[in-house]
Amino acid sequence: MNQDIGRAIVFSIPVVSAAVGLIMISLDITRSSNTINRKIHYSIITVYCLIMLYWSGLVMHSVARDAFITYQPVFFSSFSFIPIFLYLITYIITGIGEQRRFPVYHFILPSCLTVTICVIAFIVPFRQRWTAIYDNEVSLTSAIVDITFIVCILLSILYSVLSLLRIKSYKRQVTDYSADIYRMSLDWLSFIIIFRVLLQTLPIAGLILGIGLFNKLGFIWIFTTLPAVFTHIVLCLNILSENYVIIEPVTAKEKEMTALGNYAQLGRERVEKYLEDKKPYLNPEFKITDMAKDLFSNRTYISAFINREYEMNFNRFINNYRLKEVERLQAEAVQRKQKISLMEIVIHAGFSNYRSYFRAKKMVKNDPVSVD
Amino acid sequence: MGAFVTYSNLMTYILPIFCSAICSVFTLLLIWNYRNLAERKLRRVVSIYCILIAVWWSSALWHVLSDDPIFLPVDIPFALSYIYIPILFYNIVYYLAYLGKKRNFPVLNYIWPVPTLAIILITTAWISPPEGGLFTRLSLFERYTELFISSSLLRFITAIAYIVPTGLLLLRYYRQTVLQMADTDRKYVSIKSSRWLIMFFMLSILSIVIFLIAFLPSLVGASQWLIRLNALCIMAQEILLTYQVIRRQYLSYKTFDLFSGNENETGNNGLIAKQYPVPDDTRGQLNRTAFENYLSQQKPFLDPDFKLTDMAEAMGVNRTVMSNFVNQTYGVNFRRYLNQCRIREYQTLIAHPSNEQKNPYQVMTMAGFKDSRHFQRAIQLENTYKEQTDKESPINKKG
Repeated sequence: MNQDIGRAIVFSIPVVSAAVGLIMISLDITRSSNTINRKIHYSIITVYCLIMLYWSGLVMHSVARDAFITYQPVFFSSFSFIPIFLYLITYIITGIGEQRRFPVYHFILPSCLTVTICVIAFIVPFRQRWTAIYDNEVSLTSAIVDITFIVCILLSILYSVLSLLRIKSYKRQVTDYSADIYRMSLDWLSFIIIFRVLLQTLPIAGLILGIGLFNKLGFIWIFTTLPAVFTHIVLCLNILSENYVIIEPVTAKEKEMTALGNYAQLGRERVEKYLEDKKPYLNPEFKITDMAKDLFSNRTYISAFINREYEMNFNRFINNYRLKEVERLQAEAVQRKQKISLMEIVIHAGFSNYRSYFRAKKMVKNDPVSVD
Repeated sequence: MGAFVTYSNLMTYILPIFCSAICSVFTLLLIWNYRNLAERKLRRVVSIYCILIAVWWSSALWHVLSDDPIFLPVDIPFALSYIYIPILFYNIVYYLAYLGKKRNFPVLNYIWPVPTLAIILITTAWISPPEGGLFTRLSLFERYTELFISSSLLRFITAIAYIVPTGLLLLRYYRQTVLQMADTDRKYVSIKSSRWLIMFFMLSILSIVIFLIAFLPSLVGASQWLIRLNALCIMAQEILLTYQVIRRQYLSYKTFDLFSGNENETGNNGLIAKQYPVPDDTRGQLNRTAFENYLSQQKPFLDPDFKLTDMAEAMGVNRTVMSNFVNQTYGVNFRRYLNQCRIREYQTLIAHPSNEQKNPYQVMTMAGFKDSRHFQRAIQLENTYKEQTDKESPINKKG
């Protein structure tokens, strides 16, 4: 009895963390400025609701056993839908400029699983389901339940791999689009996905090896919930602080421009003069589309131009300018005998934070191609 | 079902612990991602505040679980957390309501409670020596702690002492922001930040009051529901605070950033300003046609972040001149003028046949509104002005 309550309390930590995330995201929803942001917010809210359903199922599993049996279809369907919605978020964030809707067929498999579980819930009598879940007897029902559980886990691993692939292809594209190293890296998203894969392998190993998961391992289970809590927090935090760069789709106007070819041709001098005079790179969110707008050109052309002329991508190119600005400001501070912390200088040079400054520096060190 | 009842009873205490622990993890993760030192300090203080609340609730839980009311070793963090929660709260408000003055939070606030409380405890113990027998087993220190725990008034000494300065600080801040509202650009930010601050303050006062009622068994029996309500208040307060800290909804960060930029790099900014290709013919010749041409041709208002300073830059004048110009020529402030342009743009866009399939939300963003709230506000403002002028005009005619 005491052990059951302890387990229930431990399982309610992720419920609380998901609820906190849910509340914060809902507070944020009135503020979201465009359609893509709103889409992201709605899907995050769905994810958090599903996560809450899932973990509260586990709480019921330990404390309110009868309720859990009736709740079981909800539990399984939420578990199978979580990876799909996480993939949906990844899909929205890593959209590479094209305007495509999220394919509906991704939802088919989890719906099938849900239907299977619902059918079982209707056909098999209550008592039998109870024994299938709580007693370790092997019966047809328990086998089906185990199989659906394994399928759910495999599904989530599959979708994690898909998401990672998408992030990889996005990273290749985004270096030519934005120069905000910190935001475009999407490290947090890959972290969450990889972490989830690791977490998912634990229960599957338990199932296959036949360990009585909840009974024998005792207190070790406390530590398996904490990573889940951590991922919930990281997800919410990064969505709230907008740690992502969305590649805007090519507008009709831009397409027209490219088709007609009436964009300005660039020369090295013009680009350098523009960057040195206007210093647009001081804005951390400076994007290639801004540059295209200011130079009356188009983004494919500019990116190709920078790649050809300077033999580096847009990200490197702009960050080199920022590094030079940092040096200049430092020299100026020394000259004026003022003590300005490096932090402030870095922020004023257009880096979004300290970390992106270090990354930019490391990038230059690893591959020293001189700017001029 | 018995297990479930025990579980839900325990959760009354455990929920706030989890919630504050999670909030403190949020702010801890934020600490390294700061823009200036004030921000980092604020975040550190917020995370300590959340941790202290967690400590406090866990010691309350401890007391509920073990029925021994005399003395427990957890009472030391319990006492300390209760002393320092209001002080940290004051500190947070101090950093949030920080209007450009670079002053550190006085450390004295953290130091004074310890000697004061020690003196109070010692004197009470001195004046009313405990009846013999009961306390002989306990050491002197334990007796002091017991005294502190038992007299509920002492617990609230800092809480009550700090409500007043916090309230005063907020009042001053609110007045200042009202003054700043004349400064058109920051209007939105300042109103918003002060509003949530007030809500935050109210929530904390509410939690203290509920707590006073709930934990004073002399008034009513310690009711579960009151404790739950109190927990709810504290959780709401924490989540609100954490959310706003993540979203950077406070002036301190903005003002600070701006000021440091101006002070440290005036020469630098001057250089940039000189380098800007300012067309000579427009400089100083700010006239209505040039202004309207610029607006109608470039349509800068389509950018939701377009500001007075941007406009001034484009016209080659400084912001004061620009602001005065708009005020005198059109009789409205710059923001309102901008929104009028946007509304006009919206009306033309929505009438356009190519936009038929789009929903009003999309058209609204196309017209340069940041979100639907801005849009509704602008429309409302225009409508109220229209009504006012409609009312006034017949009176004028009569007169």
